[in-house]
Amino acid sequence: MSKTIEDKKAPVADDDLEYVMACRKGDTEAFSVLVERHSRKMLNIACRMLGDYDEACDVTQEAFLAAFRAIGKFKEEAKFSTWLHRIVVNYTKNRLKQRQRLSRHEGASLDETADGPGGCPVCLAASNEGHPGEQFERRELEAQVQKCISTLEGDYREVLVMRDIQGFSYEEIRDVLRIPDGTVKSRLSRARMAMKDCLKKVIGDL
Amino acid sequence: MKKCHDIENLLPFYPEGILSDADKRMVSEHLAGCAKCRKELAYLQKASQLVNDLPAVEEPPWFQQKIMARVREEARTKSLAQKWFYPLRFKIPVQIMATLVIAILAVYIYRSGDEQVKEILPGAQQPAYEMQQEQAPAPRPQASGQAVPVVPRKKSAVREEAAHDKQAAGNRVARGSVEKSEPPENSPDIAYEADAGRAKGLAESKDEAYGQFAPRQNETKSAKASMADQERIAEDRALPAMAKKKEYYKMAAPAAPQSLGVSASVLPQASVFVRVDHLNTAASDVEKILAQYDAKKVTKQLAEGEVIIRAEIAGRNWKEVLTKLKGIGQVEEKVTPADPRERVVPVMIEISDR
Repeated sequence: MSKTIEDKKAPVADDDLEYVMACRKGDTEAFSVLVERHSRKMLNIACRMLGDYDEACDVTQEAFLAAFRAIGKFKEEAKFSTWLHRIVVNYTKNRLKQRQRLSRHEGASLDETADGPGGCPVCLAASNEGHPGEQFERRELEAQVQKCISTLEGDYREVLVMRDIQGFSYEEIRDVLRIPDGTVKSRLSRARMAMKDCLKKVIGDL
Repeated sequence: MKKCHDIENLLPFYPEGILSDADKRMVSEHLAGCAKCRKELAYLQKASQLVNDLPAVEEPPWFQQKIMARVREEARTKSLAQKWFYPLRFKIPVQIMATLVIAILAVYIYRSGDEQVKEILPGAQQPAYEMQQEQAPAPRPQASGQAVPVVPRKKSAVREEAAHDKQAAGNRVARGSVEKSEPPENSPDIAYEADAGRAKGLAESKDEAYGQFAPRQNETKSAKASMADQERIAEDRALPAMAKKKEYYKMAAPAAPQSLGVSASVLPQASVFVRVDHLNTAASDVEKILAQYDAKKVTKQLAEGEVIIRAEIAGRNWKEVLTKLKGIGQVEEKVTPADPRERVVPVMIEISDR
């Protein structure tokens, strides 16, 4: 039988718990501490999964708002961050589904949407170090990598982003996605192979 | 040696070092002898490196502040919603509470409204039978209209009891007022007394409801401080409220015009109370006076120690009839017609012993 987060009942040590409790008692300002701690990581997950910075900002806000509304339902069986990441991942997946439906309606291909709506650049880092030529090359490479991520199916994309970009442990991924260890690994294996194939195709000889 | 296909799924995890010892050994052995898989592994490592090298994106300016602004707005809305829709700690919204209150109220009104509500509701059975019995000079006039029926079976039972009581009442009238002071506990037919008293009380209350009279049982029956009286008084207290409710229903429900028409025709616009020495003689005298002034629809009802005569008389004759009544006994004018000159006035004359 698969082992998921529901099987774990033991409470975990959580630095966020104090602020979560304060929020539950009506202290709205305590939530700002939680926003401060987690907003960057949540934005990065959303951005890498969606490939669109503005949309990622939007989804992150929605996810925080949803978390605030449902903070009373949070059980201390898992860490608050795990719960929060689950929310942002679910919101992002919903947004991807919406986008797919929309693109089917408008006849646009997934490749086009991967570049972001309206041809906006994908999530590019704000790094301006190095020679302008190098900067350009690096940005180009980042764009190609992001494009390859965006070609992955949602289930593969989320594990790749969480493990290889955000550095989540396998246990954390299992808890956030509520899937067994074996599923996490098999999805990650396929995601990595697909990324290798995609990058080989896009960049050429790695 | 294992084939390339066998290690394909393990290869992405080989650089991480998370494979079991057995798997790791198997992959190592295979890689040592397979250049193609070594190349694939190199590609995997390079791709993984590219993905890992993706820099983290930075938040836009005021991102956290924007989130918190929305959160504060949400908190304000939430507290308002809490205040209005969840005023109590348990989660029953106001809409459900209102539905419950309306349902309970409806049941209460249905139960307390009973007959009157049924009378005026569309499709309800018309109380024509009762009205006919009240107006027609039936062979048993004393039984008609004395009881407000609750259910048909009970109505007939009450009528029978009232008929029995009529004989008893006649006897009592003959024996005079001494018997009236007799406590009913000593009477052998206490059940009859009680039931008849209740029936009479209901009938009187009904008359009052139609004629908008003030309750006057305490005047006429002060001597009878019995259980029957107590019950009757209790019911009389309840019935005017019901009568008011009925008037309200009449105004609010235009669906039963026939019923209302009949009711309106018997509403007495003039009412007097006559105290006499000899009830039977006085009653026949009153009838004669009414006949003399061409009164129509004359009905007579006998009750304990009193006779109620209803009639319709020309308004212009009413003053003269009053003068004649004063010759029979002591007259108390309860209701005076507003403008009796040219129309027919329904009148009610109650005659009782002094």
